[in-house]
Amino acid sequence: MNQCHISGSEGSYEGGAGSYSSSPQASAGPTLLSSSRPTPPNVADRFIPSRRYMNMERINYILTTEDVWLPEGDSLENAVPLASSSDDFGAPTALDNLGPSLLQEGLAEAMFGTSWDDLHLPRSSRTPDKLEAFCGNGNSLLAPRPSRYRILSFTEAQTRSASIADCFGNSLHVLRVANHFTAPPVRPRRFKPICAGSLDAVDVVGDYYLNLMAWNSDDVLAVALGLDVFLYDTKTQVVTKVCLPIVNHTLRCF
Amino acid sequence: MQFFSSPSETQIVTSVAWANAMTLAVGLNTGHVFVCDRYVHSYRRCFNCHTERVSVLDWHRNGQLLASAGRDEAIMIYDTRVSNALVSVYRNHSGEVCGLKWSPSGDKLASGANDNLVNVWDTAIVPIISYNQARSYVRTRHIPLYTFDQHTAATKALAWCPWSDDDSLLASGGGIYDRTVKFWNIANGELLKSVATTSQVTSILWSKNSREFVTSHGGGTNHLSLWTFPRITELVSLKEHTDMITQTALSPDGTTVASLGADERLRFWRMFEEKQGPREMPNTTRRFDFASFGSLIR
Repeated sequence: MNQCHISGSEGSYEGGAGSYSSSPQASAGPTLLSSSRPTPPNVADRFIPSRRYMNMERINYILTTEDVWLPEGDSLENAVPLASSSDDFGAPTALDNLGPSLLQEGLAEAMFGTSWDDLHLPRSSRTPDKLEAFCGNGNSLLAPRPSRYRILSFTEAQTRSASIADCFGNSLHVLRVANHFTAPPVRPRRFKPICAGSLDAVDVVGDYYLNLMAWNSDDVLAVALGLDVFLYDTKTQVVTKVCLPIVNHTLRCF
Repeated sequence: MQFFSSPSETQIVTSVAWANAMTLAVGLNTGHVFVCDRYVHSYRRCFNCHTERVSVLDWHRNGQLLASAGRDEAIMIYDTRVSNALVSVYRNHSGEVCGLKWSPSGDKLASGANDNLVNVWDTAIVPIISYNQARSYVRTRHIPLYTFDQHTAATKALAWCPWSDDDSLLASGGGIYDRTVKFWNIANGELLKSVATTSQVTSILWSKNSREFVTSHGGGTNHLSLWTFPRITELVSLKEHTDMITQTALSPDGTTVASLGADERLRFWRMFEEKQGPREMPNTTRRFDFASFGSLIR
């Protein structure tokens, strides 16, 4: 009853083999729960991984011929199971024994969108980028790739700089910090700083190591002048003095 | 017990820090740290953990955790809510600790000292210590998250960038033989940039409203400098003080900088414009009138 619906031109496969939908039109929309609400076409009533971006024919081919590596001089017809089992072309010609012919390269280009060498290279000699794309690794989300490589990446690809990416795990974070020094200023400054007033701070300790002033969120400035702390309220311009205890052996610390 | 200060040769105030609008912490040269209320003329807590003067205090952003450090080279973390307030001691410096700043999110603590080091401590574990099970247990840590030794003089000026996400940017300024402002990426411990200035850097303030920062200087020039940040250029140099500027502070609306000089003057500078765009609260954009200044603080 479960009928696979394969659209021939794009090779995309929707619905999935694990889908319990009883009609082939289930891939077109939520027909099981016939709600009048317009829903996006990718939403199902249970979690079914969308295979919109998978080329099932190509994946099938890769899975069945993935580990086949052709040593030099070997016959193509014996090594590639897909070509040997289901071909109707008859006996191999002498041209085919020499290696990938123009016909096969053209067929591979037309069917799979890639060259013959990419399909038949062994695992070890593939470039890491292609290996990630073949295995559907999570890292393939980070680098831009042609759409025919996209097997399990459902989000948009994000660009990343290789030199910044390997210095720390959170690459976007480092990128943002590094941009601090290269970003242009937001807008030119028109405001000229002026001295708005001054006060006498008698007996202040002129010591580089001390931290004698603090401004709080209620516009009160605390200044330590010698033995005492004075609070200057910049709203009302009232100065009050903080009463500190005398430190001696009777002082209770808690 | 006397609650009034009297002229005494042995007791001076060496550091102050606000927790919020109401609570003030005061450190003394005797090693005592007082937590005072603004209106109540008494102190709420007294800690006597340091053996020498407390040079710097800084509050966590929640207003409950207090960090103090000083000449005895140790950094103490207190939780002012509980009875056994001392929860952590950080010992890595070998000189008087004079700079101490919690990061904006409160997960990290930067410390600078007279041994030319800047240490960044990961303090995220501090609030989860169980006080009931380990009442007298104080966690002592010796290994900071990062140790930066590129400064060649005492490092007092420390400032976390307020608009940088995830506490990723720290600025530090070196002392009289260093004269540089260095920018650190705390995400990976990398020195992003080092900017040479003309004299000893005594404090750094980031603007909250624009991409600028202010450094204050001593060592003969005694000026305030205003810098643009992404491309670091000095916009203006303000020379009014006649002695070293020991400390600067930024007003809560982000427009005014106060500078305290060793020439016994406290100056206010209209340094930044008010924040552009939608205003959050009408109270935060109020400015105060400096025209009638001239009264003495004391």
